[in-house]
Amino acid sequence: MTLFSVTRKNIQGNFKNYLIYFLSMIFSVVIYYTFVSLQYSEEIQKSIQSWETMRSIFVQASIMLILFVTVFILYSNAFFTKKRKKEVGLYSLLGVRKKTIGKMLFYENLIMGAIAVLIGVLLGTLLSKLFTMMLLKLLSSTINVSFSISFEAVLNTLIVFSIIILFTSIQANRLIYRFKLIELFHAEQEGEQVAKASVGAAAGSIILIAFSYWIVFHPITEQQLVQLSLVLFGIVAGTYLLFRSLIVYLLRASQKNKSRYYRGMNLIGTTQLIYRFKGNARTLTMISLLSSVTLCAISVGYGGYYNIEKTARNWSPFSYSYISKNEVFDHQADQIILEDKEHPVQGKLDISVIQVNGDISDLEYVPYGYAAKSVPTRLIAVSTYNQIAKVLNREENLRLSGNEAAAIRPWQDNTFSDYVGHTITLKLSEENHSIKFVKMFEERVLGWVSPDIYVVVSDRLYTDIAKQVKPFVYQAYKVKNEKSTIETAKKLEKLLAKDTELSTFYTMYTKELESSGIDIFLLGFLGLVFLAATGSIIYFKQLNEAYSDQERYQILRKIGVSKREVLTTLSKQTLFVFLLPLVVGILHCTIILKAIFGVNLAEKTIMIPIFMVMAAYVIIYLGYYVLTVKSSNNIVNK
Amino acid sequence: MSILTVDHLEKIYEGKVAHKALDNINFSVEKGEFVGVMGPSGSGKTTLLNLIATIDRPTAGEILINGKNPHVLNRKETALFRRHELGFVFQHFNLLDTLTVEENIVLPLTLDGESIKEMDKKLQYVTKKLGIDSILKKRTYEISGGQMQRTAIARSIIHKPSLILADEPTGNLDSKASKDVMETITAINKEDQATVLMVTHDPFAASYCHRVIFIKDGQLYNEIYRGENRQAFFQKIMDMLALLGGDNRDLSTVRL
Repeated sequence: MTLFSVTRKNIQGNFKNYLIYFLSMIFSVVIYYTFVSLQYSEEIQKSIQSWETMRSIFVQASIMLILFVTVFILYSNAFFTKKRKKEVGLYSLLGVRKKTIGKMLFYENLIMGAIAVLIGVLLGTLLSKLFTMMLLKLLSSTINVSFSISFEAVLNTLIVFSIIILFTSIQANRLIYRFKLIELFHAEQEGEQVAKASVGAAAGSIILIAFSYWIVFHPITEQQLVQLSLVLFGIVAGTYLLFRSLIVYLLRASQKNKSRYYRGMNLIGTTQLIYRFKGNARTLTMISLLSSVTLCAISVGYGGYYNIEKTARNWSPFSYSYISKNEVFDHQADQIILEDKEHPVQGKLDISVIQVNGDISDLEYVPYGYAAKSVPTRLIAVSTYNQIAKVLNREENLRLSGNEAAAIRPWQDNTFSDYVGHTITLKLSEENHSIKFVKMFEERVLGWVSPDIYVVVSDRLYTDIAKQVKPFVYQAYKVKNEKSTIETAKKLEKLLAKDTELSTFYTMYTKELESSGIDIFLLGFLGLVFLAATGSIIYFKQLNEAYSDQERYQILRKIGVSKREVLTTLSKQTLFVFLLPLVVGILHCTIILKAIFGVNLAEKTIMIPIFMVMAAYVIIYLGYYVLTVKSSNNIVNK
Repeated sequence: MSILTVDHLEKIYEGKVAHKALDNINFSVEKGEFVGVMGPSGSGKTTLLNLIATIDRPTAGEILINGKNPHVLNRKETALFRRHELGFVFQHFNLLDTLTVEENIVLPLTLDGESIKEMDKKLQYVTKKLGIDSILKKRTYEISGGQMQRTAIARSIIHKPSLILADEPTGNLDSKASKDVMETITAINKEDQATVLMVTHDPFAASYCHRVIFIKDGQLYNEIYRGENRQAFFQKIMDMLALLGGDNRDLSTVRL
């Protein structure tokens, strides 16, 4: 019998264990190859206008993937090795030389890796087409996707996985040298001691998590980085202690309530959970942290994508707007816009604007790069504002008199402060003039130009100031189907010079679409991978446990526990293991969203996408739950 | 009144070559009786026990336990029947290592949702009787084999089943522990009128029974009664086993 045939027989005999390891390797290759081939895809490069900046984002994401794939393969390798330690020990006991065993394990892992890469690349080719189409769809691109195998992508994948597989193969080779024979035989019993629950650690977990949540809402230091690391440390350490001590502590406390504990299968369910928790603390921590990161990432990405139109409309409220320079140009531009029959004009306005310097030190917001004492401030007459509101379908009939004014929130003002009641002073050549805000608008009216301070004043004040400072006029158009005005927008850009402050809705919209589209695709892709990984990790873990619990459930069956009762307690236990990290993950995610992205969770436009992301996540996660219960039930209830 | 009646029992294992494991078995066990079943390997002892334990179904014939035929019940009722009417003692103890001794013993009661007070009362009674009341809080891996088997016996009798089925209860124990366990079973049999059916290889264990049924090749071979002297009974069992033939390996070494 040659070494090779022993190896082959090994694989045949241990097929199930091998399959799980093999599948997770294939999964990793498929994910990585798919992603890398997107990066090298010509179709995608063609349809993204600012490809160069996007490339670096892709590269960053692929580094994250490498990290993830490495961890995932190492995890499943460790899982696989643990199951086989006894077998390796047996070979050694039977007198096979260590060197031979090492060689056998090395080749076995290497061959499996090679096959996994081959299959992974083939599957990945199919998947990459699918993902390319998805990405192009998100970018609203019309380019057709062809089948192709990217040589660079294959090479990239080969290099990355050769390193990983070589590493795991060497590890497999060292296995026989690393452990004593006796340790190999007791491998299955590792981590099976009954978990102890220390009150200190249990309280510590609550304190740590509560503390880091508290910091999120009450910053203790100006330095963002320190603040963030404090929060992250608190959350990670707190979560670990939560799973390691707090939960065990609570389960133990629940045992004290005998009338509950000694009812039906509660006794079995509770002890099983306690028994298992210690070995699972690290996995569960990892899963809840992964879940929260995934949820955050997708929420942010989807939030951006969901709000593209709103964002673009705020950037450029009109379909086209520019500062009128002379009548010839105005006429030409007007011609271009009118010629575009697919996008008929719904409204056209001449918007007269005055720009003066103002002292806005009474406001909380100071535009970046300006001193609050003197900021260029643009004035619009209230009658003009009402016309604008009408064209833009905003219901507003504003009346201002004397020194009353209305503020429009600047684009970059994230203070959420209310300007009403505050005053600003306009610096005119003859005298300074103070106006007082009586009203505040959140929606902007003209294309963005820094510092973006627009103030609506009464008609009389406007005419007064117009006598001292000459107004200039914006030509503003609102057309139908403004999302697709690509040709007109390009013609206008060609016609009009730079200082006309030309702003078209189309340009803003595509820019937003492109960056958010890529964002959501990358974040979604990574999120999906993480989700699949967390699901698979729990799945493998539970299955593994089901195998070792087989005997226990058989005993119960013999005592007279029905299959249904076994299934019920199994579902409950599995639900506990699934639900706990999910709930913790969602909780963390909500806080992280608030902490890092300053998301105002009460805002409806943000609530909806985040809620949708969480719902989707929970549904897929539940799918894993059902699958896990089904598989475990098949194992213990044969 | 007979607790267990086995009537023309037959079990055929289907397969490429059908195998008749049990053929026309008839016997009955009265209330308060302690009956042993012996026979060489492959004689059908375990099949018989599995059929009585409702783990397997007979091909023909019927089994009545306490006047009821468990094989006509549906699956859920079968589980309930097993839980209420039968108590099991196994060779490998079959205790749950995740539970303490106490939890293992009260397990059948918790499944039926008995009140805590009642549970405590029964637990006290049973554990005192079996001499394991001092180890209730220990885990199964912290106690000896004999203690484990006594825990298993406590579990099998705590819900007062009609019939206790023991499958090689001494198979995993040394001679001292075997003796303890057999004396325990005898005690509960005598004092609580528990009915016991025990399958065993061990002539020493069998010598504690009131009567021993011998099976060979799936058929009833013989039946011997104990009388007054256990020593003489043991010798009779040994003689019968020699007569039965079979493999010598099946017989454990003499220890008395």
